[in-house]
Amino acid sequence: MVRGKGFKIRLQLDKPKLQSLIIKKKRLIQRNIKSVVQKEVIPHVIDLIMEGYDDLAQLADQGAGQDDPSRPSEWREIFRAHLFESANKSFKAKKEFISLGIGDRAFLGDLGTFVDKEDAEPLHWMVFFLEGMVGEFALITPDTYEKLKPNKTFDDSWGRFEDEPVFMIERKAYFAQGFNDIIPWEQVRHPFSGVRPPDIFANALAQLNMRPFLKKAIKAAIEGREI
Amino acid sequence: MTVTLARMEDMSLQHWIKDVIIPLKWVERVVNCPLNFNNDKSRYEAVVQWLPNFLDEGRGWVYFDPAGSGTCVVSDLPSTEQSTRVTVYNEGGSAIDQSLFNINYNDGAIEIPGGGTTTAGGTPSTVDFTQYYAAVVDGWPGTDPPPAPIVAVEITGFDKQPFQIGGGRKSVRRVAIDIFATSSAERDDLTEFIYDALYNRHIPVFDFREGEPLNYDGTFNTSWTAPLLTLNNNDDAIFYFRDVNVTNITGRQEWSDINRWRSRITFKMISFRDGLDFNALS
Repeated sequence: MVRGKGFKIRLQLDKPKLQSLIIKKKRLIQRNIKSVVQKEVIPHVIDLIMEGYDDLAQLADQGAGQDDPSRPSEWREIFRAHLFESANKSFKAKKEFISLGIGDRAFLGDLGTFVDKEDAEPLHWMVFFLEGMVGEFALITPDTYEKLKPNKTFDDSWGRFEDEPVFMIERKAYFAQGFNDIIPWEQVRHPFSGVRPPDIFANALAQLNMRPFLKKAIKAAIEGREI
Repeated sequence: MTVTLARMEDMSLQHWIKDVIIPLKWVERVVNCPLNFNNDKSRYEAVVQWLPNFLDEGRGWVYFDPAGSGTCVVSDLPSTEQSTRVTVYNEGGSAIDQSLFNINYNDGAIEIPGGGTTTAGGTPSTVDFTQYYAAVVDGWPGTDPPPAPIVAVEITGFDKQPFQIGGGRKSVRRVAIDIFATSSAERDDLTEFIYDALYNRHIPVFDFREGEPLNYDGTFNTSWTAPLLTLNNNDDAIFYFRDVNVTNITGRQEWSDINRWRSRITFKMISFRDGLDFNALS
């Protein structure tokens, strides 16, 4: 008679070992999430913000005010670079927490006081557009001014910017001065007249879906991969 | 046509700010204002003497008596037409009984029923009234804003979320109030006043299905009783103000007068309810 052969395995739960495994896995997940946020989420959020920015730029480019030095299309790359810079500066990962701030108000020159005319920082000009403008305005450049007032010379100390002397005039004042008879209002009307605040930051955050990024980080950690 | 909670919550917020909160402090009394008879419209019209004036969008005459005494704490919800805000005088300087004429609160005009020029109390000659100093407008003021100060109220979006336990839901509406003032001092005062009127407060949703306090012609809707909206489970509809924040908006000094002194109050209006249909009303 042949007796079947068998074997016995002694199963013992090695708690310290198991705990160490769990902690290792948890740390890998944390590292992966941190890495995914830095490498993928930040660029993705900035792309979403830039979509809003490009809409703004398009609106500005469609209307009058082609000489406006604060036109968003002029400053696209600077704006984008600042977003990355502020994101990287503000990024903090501490154990279970990751915090990130992109484009706070100070970054746009909104420091709680007026932005000085001599301030040449183009991003500070964006306050005009990002906070919305109530009323209707025309942008008057030196050329436009000299057409409107042929006997007078544009004074370079006028205007919104030290380096780029242009100024805004309200619709009522424009008509009261009789300027509309010389250059029709439509040709000088600033495209951001009456435009509500386009919240490009909040809109980007509203579109952000973190789930796929987290899934990716966790899946890689389960498989033992570091991202 | 379906009336949704979104609409009635929006209207309730506008009503709360315009009719209840702002008249507690941000109104001004005009006395001895001459009345001129407008033949085309068969009515007496107050002569505009003060700026900003009542004919601006979002202003007009105040049509409720004060709902409190100078603070942002409301003692009662106003439900009946004012009896102390408008007084019309005859040529002799005696007050004419308010029952003898109708008041157009939007246009600042006195209309005599039947279209006559005189009443049993005499011919209207002057008027004392209380007008809105701050204009309250629905939404972004856009290209043709009234003169500052302006309080622009707008729901900017919403989403609905489940309760942590159970089958109920809550709606979270995001609101922005943009304030345009005439000076930094005024901006600070107006902003803080409205902030305090919202912070940690809740208000009822009013039932506007039978009309609003003012009729379309600017006269008071005498059927208005400030009815509260009741849900189909007999609960009163209420919403809570949460996460109230203020940001002062600053730009360049020459950023036009109206855009110069600004602030924005943002907050969430949260309402809770059981059941699947958020809009099931009684």
